[in-house]
Amino acid sequence: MDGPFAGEKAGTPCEKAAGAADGPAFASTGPKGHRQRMRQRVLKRGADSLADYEILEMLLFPGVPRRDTKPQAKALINHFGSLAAVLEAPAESLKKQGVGPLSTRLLTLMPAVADSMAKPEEQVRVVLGSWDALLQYCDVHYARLPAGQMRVLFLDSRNQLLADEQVPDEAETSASRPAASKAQTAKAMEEALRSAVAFLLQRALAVNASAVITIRLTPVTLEPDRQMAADTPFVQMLLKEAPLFSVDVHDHLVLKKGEWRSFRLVGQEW
Amino acid sequence: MTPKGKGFADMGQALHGMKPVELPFLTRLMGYEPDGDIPDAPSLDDKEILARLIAAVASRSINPDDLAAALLQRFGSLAATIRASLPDMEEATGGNSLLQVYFLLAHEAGIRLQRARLMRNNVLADKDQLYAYLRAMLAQELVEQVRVLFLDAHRCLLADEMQGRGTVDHTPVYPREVVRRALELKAVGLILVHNHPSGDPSPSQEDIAMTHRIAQAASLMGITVLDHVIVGGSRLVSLKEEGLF
Repeated sequence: MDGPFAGEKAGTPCEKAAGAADGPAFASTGPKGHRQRMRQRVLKRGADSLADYEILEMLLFPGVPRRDTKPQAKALINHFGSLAAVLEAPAESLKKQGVGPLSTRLLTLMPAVADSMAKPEEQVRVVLGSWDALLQYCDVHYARLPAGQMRVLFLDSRNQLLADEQVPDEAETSASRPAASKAQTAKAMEEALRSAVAFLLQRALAVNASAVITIRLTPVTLEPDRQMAADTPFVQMLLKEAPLFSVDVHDHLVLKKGEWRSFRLVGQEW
Repeated sequence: MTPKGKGFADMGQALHGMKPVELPFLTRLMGYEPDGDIPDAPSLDDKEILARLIAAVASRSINPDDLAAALLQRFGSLAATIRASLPDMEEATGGNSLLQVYFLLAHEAGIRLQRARLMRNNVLADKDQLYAYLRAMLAQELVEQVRVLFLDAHRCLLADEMQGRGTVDHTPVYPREVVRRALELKAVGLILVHNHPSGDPSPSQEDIAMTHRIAQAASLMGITVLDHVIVGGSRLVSLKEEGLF
C-alpha cells in the first residue's frame, strides 16, 4: 500500500512535522555529533536550559576544532570558581590555564556583551501617533512604490512602528478574472479576502503588533472614493476578525498623490 | 524595489554582495596570534563586539564587519540582534545556524554575568546593578512577563523566576503562587518585575492594584514586597521610588 503508513522507517507525517530526523537518530556518536546535538538543542529550546559548564563548553567549540571541550570547561569553572568568574578573567589568566587565543577572544568578549545588553540607551523607533506623523511617513516611504498595492503598518501599543509590509494582492486579481458564474465569483472573492486578512493577522502575531493601519496606494486610473468603496469588503472583514486576536485596526487609508481618504473619517463601521 | 514584504528601509540588503575576508581564517588556521592582540573588551561599541563575535564563530566566507553593520542596521542594537526571533535571525544571517546558536549563547552568557554580579551584593544596595540586570533580562522581550526576585533576610538574591507570561500588553499573575514560591524558597523579601514591550514603563492602574494585592498577601506571611520595577525598553520605573505603593 502506498500511503502515509507504507514505510515505517520514514516516520509518520506527524513525526515528520514534529521534526523527527530523516536519518538515523545518532548520525555520529563522536565529538562532532555531540556538537551538532548541542547546537540543535540551543536552537530548539534556547540557551537558558543549559548548565553553566555547557555554556562554557560550547563557547570553547570554535577555538578547539575536534577535542571534547567539556573537561576543559569544568576545569576552568573549578579553577576560577564560577562561569561568571571565567568570563571575567583577564586574558592572561585564561592563557595560563591553557585557553587558546581564539577561545580567549570569544570568552573575554562576553562581559562586553553583558554590558551592552544592560546599557540604558533608547532604541529609536518611528512613532506614528498622529495624522501628521502618519501622512508624513507615507509621503517619504511610499512616493516611489508602484501604485495599486496595499501596505500594512504594524504598531505596538504606543503606536511605534514595528514593521511595514505589503499585503499580498487580494481582491482585484479575483475580481478581474472573467466570471464563470455570479455565485462562483462571489465565493472566490470571499476566499481571496479571507486569505489576505489571515495573512495580515498572521504577520501581526509574528511581529507582536497590537494595532495595524492598512494603506492603499491608489492607481492613477481610479478615483480615491471608488478605491475606498472597492476596499470596503476587505476592511470590513479585517474589522470583524482582528478583535479575536487582540489587534486594533486603527484605520484604512486610501492615498493618491497628495489626496487621501480615511475609512475612519468616512466612517460607517467604527 | 525592496524585496517583498520588506518595505522598511533596506533591511538585510547589505547582506548581499559580501566579500570574503582572508585574515581571521588564516590566523585561526595557524593557531597563532600575537599576544598583545587580545583586546580590552569593555571599551568596544556594539558594532565591534558583534563583528568580533562573528569573526570568532562564522566561516571565512563572511565578512564580519559588513554583517555586523547589516545586523545593526536591521535590529538597532547588539542586544536586539542577539535576542531577535529565530525566523528574523535566520533571514538576517542568510540561514547561518552557527551564528544563531552563538547569538543565543552570548545572550545567555550576558544574562548570567549580570545575574552573577547582582548576586555578589545586597540587591537593594546596588540599584545600578539591579537595573543593569533587569535591562539585560527584559529590555528586548517582545511579550510581557512578570518575574519575581526572591531575597533572603540579608537582601541577597535567592532566585529570579518568571511567574507569568502574557501577551503583548497583559500578563496574569496570582498572589497565591508568588507567596507559595516565596515560602518554598524561605524568602523574606520580594521584588516584583515586569516589562512593557511597548517601551513605555509607565505603570497602569492594574499594575498598581496587582502590587497591592501581592503585598497584602505576602505581608500576612511575614514577607515584604520591597519594590515593583517596570522595564520599558531600557527605561525603568520603580513603583517604590514613585511612591505608588
